[in-house]
Amino acid sequence: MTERYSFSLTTFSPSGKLVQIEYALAAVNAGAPSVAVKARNGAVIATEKNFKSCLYDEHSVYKIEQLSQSIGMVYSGMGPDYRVLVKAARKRAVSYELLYGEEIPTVQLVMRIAEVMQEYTQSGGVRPFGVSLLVAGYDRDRTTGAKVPVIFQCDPSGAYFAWKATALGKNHLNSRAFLEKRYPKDQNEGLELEDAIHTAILTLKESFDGQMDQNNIEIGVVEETGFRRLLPAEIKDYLDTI
Amino acid sequence: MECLLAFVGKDFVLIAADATSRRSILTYTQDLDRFVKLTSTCGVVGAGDEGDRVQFLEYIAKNVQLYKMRNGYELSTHGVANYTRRNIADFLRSRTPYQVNMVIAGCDRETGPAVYFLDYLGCLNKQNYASARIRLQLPGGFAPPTPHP
Repeated sequence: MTERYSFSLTTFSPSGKLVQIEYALAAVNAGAPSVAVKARNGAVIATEKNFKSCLYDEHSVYKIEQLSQSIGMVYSGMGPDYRVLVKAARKRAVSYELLYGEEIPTVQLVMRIAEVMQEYTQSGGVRPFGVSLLVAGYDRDRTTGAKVPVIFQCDPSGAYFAWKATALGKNHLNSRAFLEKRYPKDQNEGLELEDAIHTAILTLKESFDGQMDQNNIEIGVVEETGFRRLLPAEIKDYLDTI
Repeated sequence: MECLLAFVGKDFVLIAADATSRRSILTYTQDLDRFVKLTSTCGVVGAGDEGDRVQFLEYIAKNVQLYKMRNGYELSTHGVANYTRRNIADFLRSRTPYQVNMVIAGCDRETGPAVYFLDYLGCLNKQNYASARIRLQLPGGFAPPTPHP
């Protein structure tokens, strides 16, 4: 099907906008909320698992995915589009390791994912991805050489941004305002990872419909030792402290 | 016989190589520079097929530099060594294998001094010292003439 279209379906409007990308962003904003918060000693990503029926098997499919030893990702938007990007990201992460013998820096993986997303806005017969991604990892700081946590967002346009804390999906404007109030103004004051997880859960709670429990949210944490998804039992412990 | 040498010190690496290019009784030059600087903290000395050595090490050096241009920071010595090995290994089973033996040495701020031995078949070993005393490698095997008694 793609071979028949040598022209891009994403074309400029007279006002200079790429309308398909705007619509993709609308798909993202209609998606389930996701949140990311960076701490002094780690970073947390979290999302709501929106099940339309109690018959769904909550723990068979995950939204938070690991890309490499210390990089994890979550999204807001269309699940199937997300899975394509997870696959592409993992392949690129591991290709880098094959070539250089060491783990890919988070920022470089984000650049490669963003490149994929941009290609779909300028290629024949395809549409942009209907997801925005939140990627959390641990990178070496360029000036000090120390390892620091990082959070990046990737948009359907292929643009990427680094964040201290952010929210995507439904109600993201209110969630971001909530985070702006809570996040310490002073960089040196530093948020501890435990506080960051707490903050992420509270941010999700702001836009949550109904009762939040360990089965309808997902939390992923990256520390110096690597990335992992929290077990429902661990999530329950955090929820109990709210 | 060509010779490459490197060893790890307390907070430095020392890398050395001979400077002679010869074939049989003919000495082409005695001021050959085998050293190629790869990053601000890492370099390599190579020996083997003359043309392959220059072509391969220039290719590696430029790609390592490209990494720096793209990302704003340099590859680590470990990354450079593995990248070089990957290239030797990939080219080995192609129409154009590169017959270059190398000793890669670097001293990164985070990981300290390191020395790697890398031979033309893609064998990479991280060691405290590495050397390669190399017979000139030509197809069919070739040994230098025995000296007159």
